[in-house]
Amino acid sequence: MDVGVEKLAVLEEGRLPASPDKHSRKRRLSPTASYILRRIGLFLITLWGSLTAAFFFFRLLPGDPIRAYVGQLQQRGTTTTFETNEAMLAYYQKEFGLDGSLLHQYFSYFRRLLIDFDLGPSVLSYPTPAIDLIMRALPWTIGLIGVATLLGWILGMILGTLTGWNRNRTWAEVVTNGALGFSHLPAYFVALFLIIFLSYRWKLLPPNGAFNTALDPEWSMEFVLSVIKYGTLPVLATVIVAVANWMLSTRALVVSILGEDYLTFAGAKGLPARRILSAYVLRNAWLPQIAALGMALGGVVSGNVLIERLFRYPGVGSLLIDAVLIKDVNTAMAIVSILIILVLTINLIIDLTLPLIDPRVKLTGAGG
Amino acid sequence: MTDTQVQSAFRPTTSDEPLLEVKDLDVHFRLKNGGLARVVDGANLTIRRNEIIGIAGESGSGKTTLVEAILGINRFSNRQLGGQVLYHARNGEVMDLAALSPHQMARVRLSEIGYVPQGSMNSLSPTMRVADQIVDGMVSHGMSKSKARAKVPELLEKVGLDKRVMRLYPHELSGGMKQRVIIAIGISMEPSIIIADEPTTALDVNVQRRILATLMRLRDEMGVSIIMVSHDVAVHAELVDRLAIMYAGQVVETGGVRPMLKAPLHPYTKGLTDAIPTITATRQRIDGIRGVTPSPDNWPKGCRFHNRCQYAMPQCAEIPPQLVSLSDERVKALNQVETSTEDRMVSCHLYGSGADRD
Repeated sequence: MDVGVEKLAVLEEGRLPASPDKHSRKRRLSPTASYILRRIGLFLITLWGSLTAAFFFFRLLPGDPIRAYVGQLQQRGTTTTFETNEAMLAYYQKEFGLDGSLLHQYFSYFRRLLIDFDLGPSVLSYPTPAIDLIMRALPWTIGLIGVATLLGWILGMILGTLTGWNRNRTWAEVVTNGALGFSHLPAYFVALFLIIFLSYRWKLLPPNGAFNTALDPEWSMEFVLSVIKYGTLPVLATVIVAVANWMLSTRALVVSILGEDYLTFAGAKGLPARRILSAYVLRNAWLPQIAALGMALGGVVSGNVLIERLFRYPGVGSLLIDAVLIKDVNTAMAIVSILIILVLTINLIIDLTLPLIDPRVKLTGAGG
Repeated sequence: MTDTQVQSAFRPTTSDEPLLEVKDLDVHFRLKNGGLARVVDGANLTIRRNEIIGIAGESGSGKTTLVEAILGINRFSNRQLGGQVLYHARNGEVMDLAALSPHQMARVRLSEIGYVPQGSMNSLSPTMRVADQIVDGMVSHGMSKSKARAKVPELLEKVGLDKRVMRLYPHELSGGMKQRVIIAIGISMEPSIIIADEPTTALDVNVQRRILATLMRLRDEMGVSIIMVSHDVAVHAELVDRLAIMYAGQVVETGGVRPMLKAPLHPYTKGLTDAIPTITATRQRIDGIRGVTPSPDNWPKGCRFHNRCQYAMPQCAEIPPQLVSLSDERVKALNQVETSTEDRMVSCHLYGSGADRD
């Protein structure tokens, strides 16, 4: 009789929160759909808001790029009369989308962006469209900063896991303290040291540029090797600092996981250390780091302005500086627009995929 | 209340055959300031086949450290282990668990000794399904993956869970369900001993009772011995056959749970039982044990309880008492109570410091 009582009680307790029959599964689809819709709605609102903010920021910069440009043309002596001068100004203002009131410009910017997928011609090298300049610079930046970010993340994860796992060993302490030092150095400072020693002193690597200018840019072995050779120093400067930071955050995660009860219990199950590390430590440490990597990848597109400048690398960061210096509103705005779109898209993708890889993140209809 | 009481009446008789003998076990920790924390210091305990033995004692008395030492769990690098933990395997072989290498110890865990840890709320990895966490223990002990998977529903059923639980993640389970999953893992390799360290502490009284009932049922069905650690004497009174009282890193009294709670011998045990309120007694103030637990890096000289003991004699402050057996007659005479001692052992000068002189 007492067994009956116990079984009944147990059944009650062992009952699942919801029975996964077909009916309830169908109802579950709707919270997922509403989550996705809400997320996309938020994406669009944020996109509009940040593009608007960027637009007005660049319009508020003092100075008139068109007048400066026309002035340059005049100095070359093509036109001199007042009428032609004014006509030219009006022509170029319309061409660059800088004519009419601010509101008019605002709407024409969005019309161009959304309907023509056009961000206007660049002042830097008129009449080349700004977007073309960016597309020319983007592969260099993605190659340089993308490789550096991924490399830094992977190495940082490995080193952080190892130093966390062996936190009582002397070598792990030495590595951790070293990383602590490097994590606080600015990348350009490391870059200066690398240029001085690896380039000028020991003449191992070229100090600037993206490839040997004597070669033709083409898919030849020689050219690719030259790109790698020229890219090594800037990548190294970025990676050293990135590894230190990723390592420290990973180590902190791993150490906190090592103190968790489920790790003690995994040991009490008699699992071998390697299994505990791979299935219990890594699985719980890499989830937050993947989300963090996603955020970091957003920064890849903007490039590292200082690093690109320092190594005279023809990436987006260098382009942005050139554009701002001569008040090339279109190019600068185009870079910022693309950056905004990419960062927000990456965030959207992370938000939509995280529930797939992390079982604890649940899609709920209301309230999140 | 009724279900467990009825069950207790039909408890199978435990054999006298020892299963695990803890002999003079020391678990010391070297401190940074050069001191030595003797958290467990010369503890003696015998666990027999098919019995439930309870370990009681206040916080800091070394209960958890003792069972973790039996399991070979070592959280800190400054640990120093002394003494023996003799395990009598099913094939008659006797091995000293304290002398095994970490690799050998890993094989003993789960297959010989199952563990239900303190803090079961967080003892399952949050990112793995329940089934995977049950399976990987069995797989690491040489079972094939498919065979281990096939065993999961049966294990869940044994601890009173629906087999659909296997597809869930820990955060989808209630506290009692998590505890049951952990018990399922503990019994998955059919060990001879289950060590349950405060298995019911974080659970409410209803769930607590069901978990205890499940443990008792498993003992009857599988014939395992259970070491039950709890500071809650009421839990022991309900569940265990024999009780061991720990104080300051040592076992100070052992014996059958009912006679011991009825007629405690050691003044510390007496203090513990006096602190249990009863429904029938008239309203009265409960006097706790005066003083505080001493610190493990500075145990009192002589009997470690002497400065809190109301019966302390001059020799108590000088000579540490030994854990000795007392005869039936001696216990009766001392307490004027009609009771069976069930080989009562006590470590106190009130009952003679050497061998039983009766």
